[in-house]
Amino acid sequence: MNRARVLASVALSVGVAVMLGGAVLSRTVPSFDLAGDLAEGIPRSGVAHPITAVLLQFRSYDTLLEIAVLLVAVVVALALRDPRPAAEAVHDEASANTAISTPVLASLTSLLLPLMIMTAVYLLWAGAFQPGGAFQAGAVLAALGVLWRVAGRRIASFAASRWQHVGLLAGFTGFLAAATAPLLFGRPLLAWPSSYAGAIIVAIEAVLTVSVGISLLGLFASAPEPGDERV
Amino acid sequence: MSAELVYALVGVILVAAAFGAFMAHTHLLRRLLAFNIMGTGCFLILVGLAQHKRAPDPVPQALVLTGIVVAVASTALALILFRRWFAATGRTALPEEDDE
Repeated sequence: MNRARVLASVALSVGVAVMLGGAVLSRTVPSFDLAGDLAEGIPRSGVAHPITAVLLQFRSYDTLLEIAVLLVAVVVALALRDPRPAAEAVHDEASANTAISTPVLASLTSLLLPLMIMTAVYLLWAGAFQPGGAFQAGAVLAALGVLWRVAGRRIASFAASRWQHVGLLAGFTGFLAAATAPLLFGRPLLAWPSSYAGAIIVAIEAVLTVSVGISLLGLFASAPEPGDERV
Repeated sequence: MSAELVYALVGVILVAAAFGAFMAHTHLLRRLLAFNIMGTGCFLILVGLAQHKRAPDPVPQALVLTGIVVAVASTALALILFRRWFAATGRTALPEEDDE
Protein backbone atom coordinates (compact mmCIF):
# COMPACT_ATOMS: atom_id res chain seq x y z
CA MET A 1 0.00 0.00 0.00
CA ASN A 2 1.60 3.24 -1.03
CA ARG A 3 1.06 6.58 0.67
CA ALA A 4 -0.68 8.29 -2.24
CA ARG A 5 -3.26 5.52 -2.43
CA VAL A 6 -4.06 5.75 1.30
CA LEU A 7 -4.34 9.55 1.18
CA ALA A 8 -6.62 9.44 -1.85
CA SER A 9 -8.78 6.79 -0.15
CA VAL A 10 -9.11 8.85 3.04
CA ALA A 11 -10.01 11.95 1.04
CA LEU A 12 -12.63 10.09 -0.99
CA SER A 13 -14.00 8.47 2.15
CA VAL A 14 -14.42 11.84 3.88
CA GLY A 15 -16.03 13.23 0.74
CA VAL A 16 -18.54 10.38 0.62
CA ALA A 17 -19.31 10.83 4.35
CA VAL A 18 -19.93 14.57 3.92
CA MET A 19 -22.13 14.18 0.84
CA LEU A 20 -24.14 11.25 2.18
CA GLY A 21 -24.49 12.82 5.62
CA GLY A 22 -25.68 16.05 4.03
CA ALA A 23 -28.23 14.15 1.97
CA VAL A 24 -29.51 12.33 5.06
CA LEU A 25 -29.74 15.51 7.14
CA SER A 26 -31.43 17.60 4.47
CA ARG A 27 -33.92 14.98 3.34
CA THR A 28 -37.43 16.08 2.48
CA VAL A 29 -40.48 14.73 4.27
CA PRO A 30 -42.40 12.48 1.85
CA SER A 31 -45.70 13.96 0.74
CA PHE A 32 -47.48 10.61 0.68
CA ASP A 33 -48.19 8.13 3.44
CA LEU A 34 -46.82 4.86 2.08
CA ALA A 35 -47.24 2.94 5.34
CA GLY A 36 -50.84 4.14 5.64
CA ASP A 37 -51.63 3.05 2.05
CA LEU A 38 -50.04 -0.30 2.81
CA ALA A 39 -52.09 -0.79 5.98
CA GLU A 40 -55.24 -0.12 3.94
CA GLY A 41 -54.20 -2.67 1.33
CA ILE A 42 -53.40 -5.51 3.74
CA PRO A 43 -56.97 -6.93 3.93
CA ARG A 44 -57.11 -7.56 0.16
CA SER A 45 -53.53 -8.89 -0.10
CA GLY A 46 -54.36 -12.38 1.18
CA VAL A 47 -51.78 -12.38 4.00
CA ALA A 48 -51.79 -10.64 7.37
CA HIS A 49 -48.14 -9.66 7.77
CA PRO A 50 -47.18 -6.38 6.04
CA ILE A 51 -43.64 -7.41 5.02
CA THR A 52 -44.86 -10.67 3.45
CA ALA A 53 -47.61 -8.68 1.74
CA VAL A 54 -45.05 -6.27 0.28
CA LEU A 55 -42.70 -9.10 -0.78
CA LEU A 56 -45.23 -11.34 -2.47
CA GLN A 57 -48.17 -9.12 -3.31
CA PHE A 58 -47.48 -5.40 -3.72
CA ARG A 59 -43.85 -5.67 -4.84
CA SER A 60 -43.83 -9.29 -5.98
CA TYR A 61 -42.02 -8.26 -9.17
CA ASP A 62 -38.94 -7.53 -7.02
CA THR A 63 -39.11 -10.96 -5.41
CA LEU A 64 -39.50 -12.65 -8.80
CA LEU A 65 -36.35 -10.92 -10.04
CA GLU A 66 -34.59 -11.68 -6.76
CA ILE A 67 -35.09 -15.42 -7.17
CA ALA A 68 -33.91 -15.04 -10.78
CA VAL A 69 -30.71 -13.35 -9.53
CA LEU A 70 -30.20 -16.18 -7.06
CA LEU A 71 -30.66 -18.74 -9.84
CA VAL A 72 -28.16 -16.95 -12.11
CA ALA A 73 -25.61 -16.85 -9.28
CA VAL A 74 -25.95 -20.60 -8.69
CA VAL A 75 -25.78 -21.42 -12.40
CA VAL A 76 -22.54 -19.42 -12.70
CA ALA A 77 -21.17 -21.09 -9.57
CA LEU A 78 -22.01 -24.56 -10.93
CA ALA A 79 -20.47 -23.68 -14.27
CA LEU A 80 -17.24 -22.71 -12.50
CA ARG A 81 -16.93 -26.08 -10.80
CA ASP A 82 -13.84 -28.09 -11.47
CA PRO A 83 -14.39 -29.80 -14.82
CA ARG A 84 -12.09 -32.76 -14.07
CA PRO A 85 -13.95 -36.02 -14.71
CA ALA A 86 -12.60 -37.53 -11.51
CA ALA A 87 -13.70 -34.46 -9.54
CA GLU A 88 -16.46 -36.35 -7.81
CA ALA A 89 -14.19 -39.07 -6.48
CA VAL A 90 -11.54 -36.58 -5.35
CA HIS A 91 -14.26 -34.51 -3.78
CA ASP A 92 -15.63 -37.43 -1.76
CA GLU A 93 -12.18 -38.38 -0.63
CA ALA A 94 -11.47 -34.81 0.40
CA SER A 95 -14.63 -34.50 2.43
CA ALA A 96 -13.91 -37.86 4.06
CA ASN A 97 -10.45 -36.57 5.02
CA THR A 98 -11.68 -33.29 6.45
CA ALA A 99 -14.54 -34.87 8.39
CA ILE A 100 -14.18 -35.25 12.12
CA SER A 101 -15.91 -38.50 13.02
CA THR A 102 -16.94 -38.40 16.63
CA PRO A 103 -20.10 -40.00 18.04
CA VAL A 104 -21.20 -36.66 19.51
CA LEU A 105 -21.03 -34.90 16.14
CA ALA A 106 -22.81 -37.73 14.36
CA SER A 107 -25.68 -37.90 16.85
CA LEU A 108 -25.92 -34.13 17.12
CA THR A 109 -26.33 -33.70 13.37
CA SER A 110 -28.91 -36.50 13.35
CA LEU A 111 -30.81 -34.78 16.16
CA LEU A 112 -30.62 -31.39 14.50
CA LEU A 113 -31.97 -32.63 11.16
CA PRO A 114 -35.64 -32.95 12.20
CA LEU A 115 -35.44 -29.89 14.45
CA MET A 116 -34.10 -27.67 11.67
CA ILE A 117 -36.64 -28.94 9.16
CA MET A 118 -39.37 -28.22 11.71
CA THR A 119 -37.97 -24.72 12.30
CA ALA A 120 -37.94 -24.07 8.56
CA VAL A 121 -41.55 -25.19 8.16
CA TYR A 122 -42.57 -23.08 11.15
CA LEU A 123 -40.83 -20.00 9.74
CA LEU A 124 -42.55 -20.55 6.41
CA TRP A 125 -45.95 -20.88 8.05
CA ALA A 126 -45.36 -17.95 10.40
CA GLY A 127 -44.58 -15.66 7.46
CA ALA A 128 -48.29 -15.22 6.78
CA PHE A 129 -48.92 -13.25 9.97
CA GLN A 130 -45.64 -12.47 11.73
CA PRO A 131 -41.95 -12.07 10.83
CA GLY A 132 -40.82 -15.12 8.84
CA GLY A 133 -41.26 -16.36 5.32
CA ALA A 134 -39.67 -18.19 2.44
CA PHE A 135 -36.19 -16.67 2.56
CA GLN A 136 -35.73 -17.15 6.28
CA ALA A 137 -36.96 -20.73 6.05
CA GLY A 138 -34.72 -21.33 3.03
CA ALA A 139 -31.74 -19.98 4.96
CA VAL A 140 -32.40 -22.50 7.75
CA LEU A 141 -32.59 -25.33 5.20
CA ALA A 142 -29.33 -24.17 3.64
CA ALA A 143 -27.71 -24.01 7.08
CA LEU A 144 -28.81 -27.60 7.62
CA GLY A 145 -27.15 -28.65 4.37
CA VAL A 146 -23.98 -26.73 5.23
CA LEU A 147 -23.89 -28.36 8.68
CA TRP A 148 -24.20 -31.82 7.15
CA ARG A 149 -21.49 -31.11 4.66
CA VAL A 150 -19.11 -29.64 7.24
CA ALA A 151 -19.80 -32.60 9.52
CA GLY A 152 -18.64 -34.89 6.72
CA ARG A 153 -21.97 -36.44 5.81
CA ARG A 154 -22.18 -37.41 2.15
CA ILE A 155 -24.21 -34.95 0.14
CA ALA A 156 -22.09 -35.14 -2.98
CA SER A 157 -24.47 -37.64 -4.55
CA PHE A 158 -27.27 -35.11 -4.12
CA ALA A 159 -25.14 -32.29 -5.52
CA ALA A 160 -24.53 -34.30 -8.69
CA SER A 161 -28.10 -35.47 -9.16
CA ARG A 162 -30.87 -34.15 -11.35
CA TRP A 163 -32.89 -33.45 -8.19
CA GLN A 164 -30.62 -30.54 -7.39
CA HIS A 165 -31.33 -28.99 -10.79
CA VAL A 166 -35.06 -29.57 -10.40
CA GLY A 167 -34.97 -27.98 -6.95
CA LEU A 168 -32.97 -25.02 -8.21
CA LEU A 169 -35.35 -24.36 -11.08
CA ALA A 170 -38.59 -25.05 -9.19
CA GLY A 171 -38.66 -21.72 -7.33
CA PHE A 172 -38.16 -19.49 -10.34
CA THR A 173 -40.28 -21.46 -12.81
CA GLY A 174 -43.07 -21.96 -10.26
CA PHE A 175 -43.11 -18.27 -9.42
CA LEU A 176 -42.96 -17.33 -13.11
CA ALA A 177 -45.87 -19.66 -13.91
CA ALA A 178 -47.91 -18.17 -11.06
CA ALA A 179 -46.95 -14.66 -12.20
CA THR A 180 -48.01 -15.18 -15.81
CA ALA A 181 -51.14 -17.24 -15.09
CA PRO A 182 -53.34 -14.12 -14.57
CA LEU A 183 -52.44 -13.03 -18.13
CA LEU A 184 -54.46 -16.00 -19.44
CA PHE A 185 -57.54 -14.57 -17.78
CA GLY A 186 -57.05 -11.04 -19.06
CA ARG A 187 -55.57 -9.69 -15.84
CA PRO A 188 -52.23 -7.88 -15.45
CA LEU A 189 -49.02 -9.73 -14.57
CA LEU A 190 -48.96 -10.91 -10.94
CA ALA A 191 -52.51 -9.64 -10.30
CA TRP A 192 -54.07 -12.58 -8.53
CA PRO A 193 -57.76 -12.39 -7.60
CA SER A 194 -57.84 -11.60 -3.88
CA SER A 195 -59.94 -14.68 -3.06
CA TYR A 196 -57.09 -16.97 -4.25
CA ALA A 197 -54.17 -14.71 -3.36
CA GLY A 198 -53.55 -16.20 0.09
CA ALA A 199 -53.33 -19.77 -1.21
CA ILE A 200 -51.16 -18.77 -4.19
CA ILE A 201 -48.75 -16.86 -1.93
CA VAL A 202 -48.39 -19.80 0.48
CA ALA A 203 -47.78 -22.19 -2.45
CA ILE A 204 -45.14 -19.89 -3.97
CA GLU A 205 -43.47 -19.47 -0.60
CA ALA A 206 -43.30 -23.23 -0.06
CA VAL A 207 -41.60 -23.78 -3.44
CA LEU A 208 -39.33 -20.78 -2.89
CA THR A 209 -38.20 -22.16 0.47
CA VAL A 210 -36.90 -25.37 -1.08
CA SER A 211 -35.33 -23.51 -3.98
CA VAL A 212 -33.63 -20.88 -1.80
CA GLY A 213 -32.28 -23.60 0.49
CA ILE A 214 -30.86 -25.62 -2.39
CA SER A 215 -29.47 -22.50 -4.09
CA LEU A 216 -27.61 -21.26 -1.01
CA LEU A 217 -26.30 -24.76 -0.33
CA GLY A 218 -25.25 -25.06 -3.96
CA LEU A 219 -23.29 -21.82 -3.69
CA PHE A 220 -21.55 -23.13 -0.58
CA ALA A 221 -20.91 -26.59 -1.96
CA SER A 222 -19.50 -25.46 -5.30
CA ALA A 223 -16.57 -23.70 -3.65
CA PRO A 224 -13.37 -25.70 -4.05
CA GLU A 225 -12.28 -27.87 -1.14
CA PRO A 226 -9.33 -26.63 0.93
CA GLY A 227 -6.18 -28.06 -0.56
CA ASP A 228 -7.96 -28.71 -3.82
CA GLU A 229 -6.40 -25.68 -5.42
CA ARG A 230 -4.04 -26.33 -8.26
CA VAL A 231 -1.53 -23.66 -9.06
CA MET B 1 -31.24 14.00 17.68
CA SER B 2 -33.95 11.51 16.90
CA ALA B 3 -33.36 7.75 16.84
CA GLU B 4 -33.82 7.33 13.08
CA LEU B 5 -31.19 9.98 12.43
CA VAL B 6 -28.71 8.14 14.66
CA TYR B 7 -29.26 4.92 12.67
CA ALA B 8 -28.90 6.74 9.36
CA LEU B 9 -25.74 8.58 10.39
CA VAL B 10 -24.13 5.35 11.66
CA GLY B 11 -25.02 3.90 8.24
CA VAL B 12 -23.34 6.90 6.57
CA ILE B 13 -20.17 6.34 8.63
CA LEU B 14 -20.16 2.62 7.71
CA VAL B 15 -20.56 3.39 4.01
CA ALA B 16 -17.84 6.06 4.02
CA ALA B 17 -15.34 4.01 6.04
CA ALA B 18 -15.95 0.89 3.94
CA PHE B 19 -15.60 2.92 0.75
CA GLY B 20 -12.23 4.19 1.94
CA ALA B 21 -11.12 0.66 2.81
CA PHE B 22 -12.34 -0.57 -0.57
CA MET B 23 -10.19 2.00 -2.33
CA ALA B 24 -7.13 1.55 -0.10
CA HIS B 25 -6.79 -2.25 -0.27
CA THR B 26 -6.10 -4.44 -3.25
CA HIS B 27 -6.47 -7.88 -1.61
CA LEU B 28 -9.67 -9.30 -3.05
CA LEU B 29 -11.00 -10.62 0.27
CA ARG B 30 -10.50 -7.25 1.94
CA ARG B 31 -12.28 -5.59 -0.93
CA LEU B 32 -15.18 -8.04 -0.67
CA LEU B 33 -15.44 -7.42 3.08
CA ALA B 34 -15.40 -3.66 2.54
CA PHE B 35 -18.04 -3.98 -0.14
CA ASN B 36 -20.26 -6.00 2.17
CA ILE B 37 -19.88 -3.47 4.99
CA MET B 38 -20.77 -0.74 2.50
CA GLY B 39 -23.94 -2.64 1.62
CA THR B 40 -24.77 -3.08 5.30
CA GLY B 41 -24.42 0.67 5.76
CA CYS B 42 -26.86 1.25 2.89
CA PHE B 43 -29.35 -1.17 4.48
CA LEU B 44 -28.98 0.62 7.82
CA ILE B 45 -29.69 4.00 6.19
CA LEU B 46 -32.74 2.59 4.38
CA VAL B 47 -34.25 0.85 7.38
CA GLY B 48 -33.16 3.43 9.93
CA LEU B 49 -34.48 6.49 8.13
CA ALA B 50 -37.81 5.03 7.18
CA GLN B 51 -39.55 4.74 10.50
CA HIS B 52 -43.19 5.45 10.57
CA LYS B 53 -44.47 6.87 13.86
CA ARG B 54 -41.90 4.88 15.85
CA ALA B 55 -42.90 1.66 14.06
CA PRO B 56 -40.88 0.07 11.24
CA ASP B 57 -42.02 0.85 7.72
CA PRO B 58 -42.64 -2.49 5.93
CA VAL B 59 -41.79 -1.27 2.41
CA PRO B 60 -38.07 -0.50 2.99
CA GLN B 61 -37.86 -3.55 5.24
CA ALA B 62 -39.00 -5.76 2.37
CA LEU B 63 -36.57 -3.98 0.02
CA VAL B 64 -33.70 -4.57 2.43
CA LEU B 65 -34.69 -8.22 2.88
CA THR B 66 -34.48 -8.64 -0.89
CA GLY B 67 -31.16 -6.82 -0.84
CA ILE B 68 -29.71 -9.08 1.85
CA VAL B 69 -30.50 -12.23 -0.14
CA VAL B 70 -28.94 -10.77 -3.28
CA ALA B 71 -25.90 -9.63 -1.26
CA VAL B 72 -25.40 -13.11 0.20
CA ALA B 73 -25.68 -14.72 -3.23
CA SER B 74 -23.26 -12.27 -4.84
CA THR B 75 -20.78 -12.61 -1.96
CA ALA B 76 -20.79 -16.39 -2.35
CA LEU B 77 -20.33 -16.05 -6.11
CA ALA B 78 -17.48 -13.58 -5.58
CA LEU B 79 -15.76 -15.98 -3.16
CA ILE B 80 -16.02 -18.81 -5.69
CA LEU B 81 -14.57 -16.56 -8.40
CA PHE B 82 -11.72 -15.51 -6.08
CA ARG B 83 -10.90 -19.12 -5.25
CA ARG B 84 -10.78 -19.99 -8.95
CA TRP B 85 -8.67 -16.90 -9.65
CA PHE B 86 -6.26 -17.89 -6.88
CA ALA B 87 -6.14 -21.47 -8.17
CA ALA B 88 -5.46 -20.27 -11.70
CA THR B 89 -2.88 -17.55 -11.01
CA GLY B 90 -1.74 -17.90 -7.38
CA ARG B 91 -2.48 -14.23 -6.77
CA THR B 92 -4.79 -12.56 -4.26
CA ALA B 93 -5.22 -9.27 -6.11
CA LEU B 94 -6.21 -8.26 -9.59
CA PRO B 95 -3.39 -7.02 -11.82
CA GLU B 96 -2.96 -3.26 -11.81
CA GLU B 97 -1.46 -0.88 -14.31
CA ASP B 98 1.70 -0.25 -12.31
CA ASP B 99 2.34 -4.00 -12.03
CA GLU B 100 4.78 -5.61 -14.39
